[in-house]
Amino acid sequence: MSDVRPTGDDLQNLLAHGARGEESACAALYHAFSPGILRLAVGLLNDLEDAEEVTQDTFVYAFRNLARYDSTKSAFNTWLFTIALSRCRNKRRRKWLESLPLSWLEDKAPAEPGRAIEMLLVRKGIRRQVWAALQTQPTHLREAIALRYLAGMRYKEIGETLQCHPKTVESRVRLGLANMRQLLHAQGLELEAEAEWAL
Amino acid sequence: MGVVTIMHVHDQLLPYLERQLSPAEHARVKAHLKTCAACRAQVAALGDLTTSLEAMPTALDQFSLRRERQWAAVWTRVTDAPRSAPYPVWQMALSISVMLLVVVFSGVRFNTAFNQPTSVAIAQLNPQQTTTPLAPAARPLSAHTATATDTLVPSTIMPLPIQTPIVIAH
Repeated sequence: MSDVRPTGDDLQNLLAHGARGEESACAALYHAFSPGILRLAVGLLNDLEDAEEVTQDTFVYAFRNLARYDSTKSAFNTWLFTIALSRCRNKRRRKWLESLPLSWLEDKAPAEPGRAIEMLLVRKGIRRQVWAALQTQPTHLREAIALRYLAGMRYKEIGETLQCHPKTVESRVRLGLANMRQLLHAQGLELEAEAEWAL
Repeated sequence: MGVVTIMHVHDQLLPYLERQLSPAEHARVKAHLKTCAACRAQVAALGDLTTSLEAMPTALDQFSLRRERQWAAVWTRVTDAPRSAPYPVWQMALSISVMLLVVVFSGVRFNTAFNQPTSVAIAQLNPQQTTTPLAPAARPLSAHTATATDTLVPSTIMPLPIQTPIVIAH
């Protein structure tokens, strides 16, 4: 993971200054945590514009309410990702509702906002089908996989964010991956059958 | 003749790949993989998939290049609006007053409607009045109102039971 996030005293220091409204502290927090939030939002919304909007909303809310954040109740990481997750869910719900009348009235294929994301991944050597398989997963499985692999969180942190046991998170990730494998297999995309590193 | 049971380790393949098993468990899964082609194929496919997923963050970070512009927008929004938007006191006071008025008004209406005596109740309370003739001037108001044609309580407020006409001798 490419993120370098402040921890311990450094983080507490930034949070204290940020709560007092100091721009430099908030900027440092934003630059440290926004890539993970953006990746999560891209993974859950499959739309770059929406993901950027959600990221922005998340930080605006977080900075306005930084004084209310209680480090004894949850880690800052967890608090921030919980806000982002909630906003992603709201966005998806609103988008779904907005898309209903249009799809009923207009007899045309819906736009593919995720196309740019797929193309970027392909350019980076990642198979398009893997991203597409992730997008077809049920919400609870996709959230667990996105938090694990895109946001780079540990099972314990994901459990706190999703308010479930880490073992449940692990099961969801495992089930999601199994579904994705089946889907890719059905599409004729064979994953590596033998790999030396596996042993 | 002994039966050889092969215990596959499907549930432990992901923790194995992520190096989350204890050393003993890791060694056990590794030994099993050496002898089981099915589990070996599974762990290889799973490894390939997780490798693809783990490569995604670096690729997706290309989108974070616009971070500076995004940060400017975030900070503008944070500083433009008040830090905390408290609910205006006058609005809260007005809401509570309206709610109290509604509660008091509906309570009075309901109470009034509920306390209206029905003709049956009157008949039960004053059985003599139905048989004893009274001078019109001495007749109590409640007795006067307890006629079959009068409606004591509007049916929209208080549904009345079906009543039998009460004959009052004059």
